[in-house]
Amino acid sequence: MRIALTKGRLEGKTMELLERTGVDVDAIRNKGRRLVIRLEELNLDVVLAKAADVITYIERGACDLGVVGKDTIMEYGQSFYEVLDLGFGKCRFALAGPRGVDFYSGHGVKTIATKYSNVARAFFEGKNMDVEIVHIDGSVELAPILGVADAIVDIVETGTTLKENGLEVIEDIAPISARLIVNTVSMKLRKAEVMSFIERVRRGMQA
Amino acid sequence: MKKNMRITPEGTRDFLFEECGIRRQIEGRLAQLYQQRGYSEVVTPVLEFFEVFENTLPQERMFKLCDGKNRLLALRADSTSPAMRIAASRLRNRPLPLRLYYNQNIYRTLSGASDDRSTEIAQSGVELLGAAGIRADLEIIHTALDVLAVCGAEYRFELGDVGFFKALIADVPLTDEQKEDVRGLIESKNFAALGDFLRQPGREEDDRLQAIGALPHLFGGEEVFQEAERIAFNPAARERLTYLRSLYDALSALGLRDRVSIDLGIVQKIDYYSGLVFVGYLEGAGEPVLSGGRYDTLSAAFGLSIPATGFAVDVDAIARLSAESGGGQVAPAEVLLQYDLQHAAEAFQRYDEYLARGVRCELSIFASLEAAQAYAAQSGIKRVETVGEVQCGQ
Repeated sequence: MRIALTKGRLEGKTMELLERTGVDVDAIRNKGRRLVIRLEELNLDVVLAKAADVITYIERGACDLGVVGKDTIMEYGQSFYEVLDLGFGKCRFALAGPRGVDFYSGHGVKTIATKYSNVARAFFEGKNMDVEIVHIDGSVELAPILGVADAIVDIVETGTTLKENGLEVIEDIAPISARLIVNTVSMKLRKAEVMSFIERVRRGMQA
Repeated sequence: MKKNMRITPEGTRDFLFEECGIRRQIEGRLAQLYQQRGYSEVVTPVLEFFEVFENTLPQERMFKLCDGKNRLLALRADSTSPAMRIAASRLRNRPLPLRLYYNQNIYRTLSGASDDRSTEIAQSGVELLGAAGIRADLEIIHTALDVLAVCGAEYRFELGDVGFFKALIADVPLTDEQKEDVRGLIESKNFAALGDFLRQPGREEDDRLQAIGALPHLFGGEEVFQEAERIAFNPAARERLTYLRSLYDALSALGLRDRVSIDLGIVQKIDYYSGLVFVGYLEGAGEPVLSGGRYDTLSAAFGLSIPATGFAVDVDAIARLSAESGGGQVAPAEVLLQYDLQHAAEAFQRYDEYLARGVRCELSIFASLEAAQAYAAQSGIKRVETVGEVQCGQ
């Protein structure tokens, strides 16, 4: 089996969890420039990838299992099994705008800046609201300050960045945490292996 | 040169040589497999009226355009609805059941820029119309298993019944919105979130709700039935389960037990399936390659009232896997015929002889032998034959 792990924000906590499930994570930590790390005793190949790529590898069946944030799943996810909430990497999607401004006032179409166009679009469709969405790749908080957007849809952890830039949360959209996902075909063709890995991780979470 | 002159739209592509060879080979083998079982081919238009597909797909998945009278048309978005349209019109007075098959492309729009699926999908499948009951279901499943075996890869076949979930959820005290949430969690096997939902106060004491919590786990072999019986708390659910069990036993008796598994968590949102559903997987393909089931209610939209079952298979997915195991190779010609124009008649006579004997033979379009030999070397043609004078140079 092959597992794809998300690099960056979730990496450290993923390693801690794997360590608690009895995986020798030193091999992964000392991977050097290798992109695929073989864990012989678990019969498992480990791949580290960017979040959106983890989804791609799982959907295409190149990897059987993946660890990825719910944010990425909501933005890019289509068809796979989402079997465990791993409980770390907790934050939330929120709609935020300039402090003290009533976002919903007025009749004009609002402009929303976001890195997560699909999440933003789905959120406003659910509210039957027409909005214009501006895709921003870097610091989304900048957009309202520069007058490019009325509000932003972004990941909020502590809210400090918002506060420092004169923004506040208008509404929470969805809670976010790391998830264990499984390719649909792998779940069926390798049920015993996949289920025992899920069980291992579940025990690791409680340990 | 204008823009877009050397590319194809997202989701489409050209098929060259070996790819065409393997696709035609697979389509041919599937056609033969269907015909032997008494199925007859239909080809339906690429353009249909939009309404034909309204019951099978959400409208955002269809390519649409208008005809000269401003009526809404759609590109063929599936083949089941057109087959039903034919059954309700030109074949209306034929004795039932009707056995139809097709080998044709369907067209589905992408959901966004990050969607890397194909918009043009080569599909092959059968429809058994006007047949209810276990005989029809067994025939369709047996045919589907043979289709999966065509590609030679390891395969797995999974049976479910959407009626089982529908029967269970009908009886629980949840709003329609909550039921839809639960369905989504079961579909994505989101064990954790479903568990959280069911542990909320007031729900924990409800045995029927707790039973539904077991659904995403109910996949695997024969043991699934024992677990499912424990949670089948109403007669409708028990009836569905009994039927599925009898089907599984019949398949086991045919020696197919190892190939077939059960998943009672197959609960797709958008579908016209009314009961039995099944999915086929091939080792090496990341997504299911075959899907089908019973759609007894679809005919009503066409002013007909007949039970129906069928399946569709992704031909290119099978072709890709077969190509990896070396199928579909296109061999170069065996002979290249070089001739001067005075001896054209003689050359074409030899050409006809070769073709009649089944030898792959190409005519040279070059004036000089050197050019013909160079071309033959590049193209992997082993033998160059000359007819008449050998001309050298330009």
